[in-house]
Amino acid sequence: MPQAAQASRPRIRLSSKQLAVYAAVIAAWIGYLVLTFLQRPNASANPYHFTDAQRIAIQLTIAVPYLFIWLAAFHGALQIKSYQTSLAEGTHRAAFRKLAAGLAWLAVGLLVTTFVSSIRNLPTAGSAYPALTVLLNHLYVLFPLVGFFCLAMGARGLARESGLRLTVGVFATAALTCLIVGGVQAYLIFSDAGRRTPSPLTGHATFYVPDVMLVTDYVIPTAISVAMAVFAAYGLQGFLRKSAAVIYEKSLPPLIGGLLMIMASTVILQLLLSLGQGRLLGLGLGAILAIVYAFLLIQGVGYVLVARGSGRLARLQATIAKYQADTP
Amino acid sequence: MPTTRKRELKPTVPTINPYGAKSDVQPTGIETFDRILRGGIPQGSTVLLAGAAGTGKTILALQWLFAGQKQYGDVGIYISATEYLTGSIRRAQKMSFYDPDVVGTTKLFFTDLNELLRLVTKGQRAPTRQDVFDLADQIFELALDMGAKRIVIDSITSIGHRLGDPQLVREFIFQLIAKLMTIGTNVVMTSEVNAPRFSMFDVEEFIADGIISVTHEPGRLYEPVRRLRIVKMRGTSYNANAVLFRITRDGLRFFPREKGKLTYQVSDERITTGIEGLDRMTSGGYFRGSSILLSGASGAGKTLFALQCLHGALTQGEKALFLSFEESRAHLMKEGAAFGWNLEKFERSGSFRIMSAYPEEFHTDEHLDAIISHIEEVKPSIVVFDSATALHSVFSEEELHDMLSNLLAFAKERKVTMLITGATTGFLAVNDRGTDVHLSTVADTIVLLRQIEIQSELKHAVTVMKMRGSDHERLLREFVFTPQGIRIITDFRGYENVLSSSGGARKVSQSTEDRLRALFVEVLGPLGAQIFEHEKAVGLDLARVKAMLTDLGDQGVISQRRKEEFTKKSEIIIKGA
Repeated sequence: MPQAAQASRPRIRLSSKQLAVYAAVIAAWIGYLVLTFLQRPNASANPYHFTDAQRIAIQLTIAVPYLFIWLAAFHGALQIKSYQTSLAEGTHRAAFRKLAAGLAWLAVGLLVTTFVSSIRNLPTAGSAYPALTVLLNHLYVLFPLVGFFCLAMGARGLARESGLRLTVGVFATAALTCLIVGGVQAYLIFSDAGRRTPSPLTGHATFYVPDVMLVTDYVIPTAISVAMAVFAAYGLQGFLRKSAAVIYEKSLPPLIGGLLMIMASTVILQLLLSLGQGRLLGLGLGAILAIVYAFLLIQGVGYVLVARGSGRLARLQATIAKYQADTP
Repeated sequence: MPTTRKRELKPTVPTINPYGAKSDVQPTGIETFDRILRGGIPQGSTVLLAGAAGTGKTILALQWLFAGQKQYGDVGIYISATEYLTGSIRRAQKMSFYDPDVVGTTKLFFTDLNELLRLVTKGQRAPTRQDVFDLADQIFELALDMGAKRIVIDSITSIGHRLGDPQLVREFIFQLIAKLMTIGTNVVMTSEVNAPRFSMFDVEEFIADGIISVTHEPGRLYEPVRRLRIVKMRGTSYNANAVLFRITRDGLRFFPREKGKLTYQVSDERITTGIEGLDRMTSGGYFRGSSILLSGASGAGKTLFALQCLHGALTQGEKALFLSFEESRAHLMKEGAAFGWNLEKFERSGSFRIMSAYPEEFHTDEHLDAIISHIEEVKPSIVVFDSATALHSVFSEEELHDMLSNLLAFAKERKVTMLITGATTGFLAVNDRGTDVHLSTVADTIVLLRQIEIQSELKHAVTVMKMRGSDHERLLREFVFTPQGIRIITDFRGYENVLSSSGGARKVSQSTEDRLRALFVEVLGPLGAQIFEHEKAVGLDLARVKAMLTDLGDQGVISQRRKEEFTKKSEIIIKGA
């Protein structure tokens, strides 16, 4: 029996920086819980007349999955980052660096938007509500836009390394997806009477910004984000198919699947925002909860798949490091 | 009309210090000629303009007279000794600088030697020493009366023949110079001699303050090459190079070359090559103000590489100039349009210009003059010179090298990036071992393009052979032509003989070590190479590697099937060894 085979199974050692990130995420989640409990919605914002206990119970069913989604999101970004640092400097490493950056933007976006949303819903927000709504809506667009752009650039680097080029078909797919998402979102936004002025049902407007900004600041960036996500998935898939090493066979597919699910959750979130609170409440409690849980499920599975794929890459690195250290 | 009355010679030396009058130069009024003379002719000088028949002596002398009158109001006298006055005037009338309003007036006076000599000798006997004094005196009096600043004697050779005795010629010139010097008049005496002589009587050149030699020689594919060279010019510095000139209706057009000084500043700023892959290969693009040689055979893609770089610069708001010696403007526009580059748009906005000319249309110095004019007008940050090979087919290596090194010096001083395309053989050659030859020594960067055959398929390869002041990739990479232009893709690792002149690449016969390394990379990706090197350093133990793969399999990182494949392949490789 070789000496190496007798060694214990290598563990992914977390660096102090990584531990600090996980600790920060957990602390942020606790902060988010506190903010959630501080919320005291008035009658207009509580159309289903929940008691505080019922409200908190429902919010917990959302907040708890949030913790796992956040951890999964940060875990994925950190693992990819860790993997790329073990590679020699070059186009391959640069590509993975961009992938890690993209995932980090998405993960940070989750955290920031949730926090801003919670602060906005505090009773003390008062007159700041419209400004916070505008800020929040922009953040919902900004983070995915930057994140998917980085991912697309990283995937492009890998794809180019293997001589893969964007085909007309990919462009057509991305353009079609953009058009569909943009069209549906635009329709939902502009058919919402409460998009600029507060709705009688909720007391708030959905966006508070002029119509032209709805297109330039929300519809177009969301469509671009979607296109970037398509390019990222295509690039990674192409790399996997054409020239990736065996080691990527088990790590890239979950990563690609996860990215597509994150893209889907981003689109769903934007469509839900575009729908407006008034129409959303009109769907009924059951439908709302179903939509929210479905959204959480898609988003959660997406990030878990990404974490799974990147975790395999990190394990490769850890295993190799261990064997090199164990070499007599 | 000036008087022609004979005056007696004064036996005294001039009271004006003749050398004091030379402190100032008199601009000729011909801009490029003044550049060659570094300002003009010192006042009170006598200049011998020597050359064979048909070299443009008379035209230059007339041009000098008319330019002086037009630009500085200098009164001039033209003394014809070779032909009758009407003939001289008729010749002058063909030139654009001829101004009928000043000819024959107190501004510009034409006369012939016959008239003057007749006055001196009374037309009855051979000239004597006294006649020579009188002739000089006649000319001096004429100049004095008119206030002449410029006198042309065309030619001193003819006068010498008329005087017959070299001693008389010497006396005449000496007397004339001594007198005219006192009033600061400049005299140009033409001398009809064949090179390398400057004077017929071997005295003129020693007395004259300046000697300007004009020569002509037959050209190969273009008209005769005429050159002017200042042999001496007392009291001033001058450009001593032989300067090419052309005789035009406007007079002599000079193409002086001034070698740049090695004082130009180098820039760390990079400009894009227009090709993403090449930007990476050059660690960020070419240096601004550097010279780049794109070397490759016909069809290798040199022009397209240059055009794409130029387009990349244009889209970033830079200005560009394309010097084409092979293709017409329309052809280049069409070539650009084929890749979606709207060069006409940039041309309309004034940020882009194409200069197209056949190499044989002009001499290298004229090409250089035209190029410099274009650069000064457009003020481009990038200039494409396409191609040096085309010029090499017409001009000698020395001429072309001289032209390009002058152009590059000019470009460097102005931080203009020069892209020069050239063939792979002869003067522009960059041989397979990477040794620089000829032009490649003055290029800061050499990008080598090759067409190679691999398994009956023609592929295009590019490599950065040299890049002064920068690290660069040394790999040979394949590039392809796409609808958007050139795209650089994979490298040719695993092949050898790619750069050979035969153009046939062959696969490298792999050693056991290479095959094992390739297997590691195939399975473990970029980390595979690192692991292999590590294992090699500590002594390759396949059992240890297999155990590692087993571990990875247990963790779900690699499948069981793949692990077995690795085991099988590695055993085959080792057994084969």
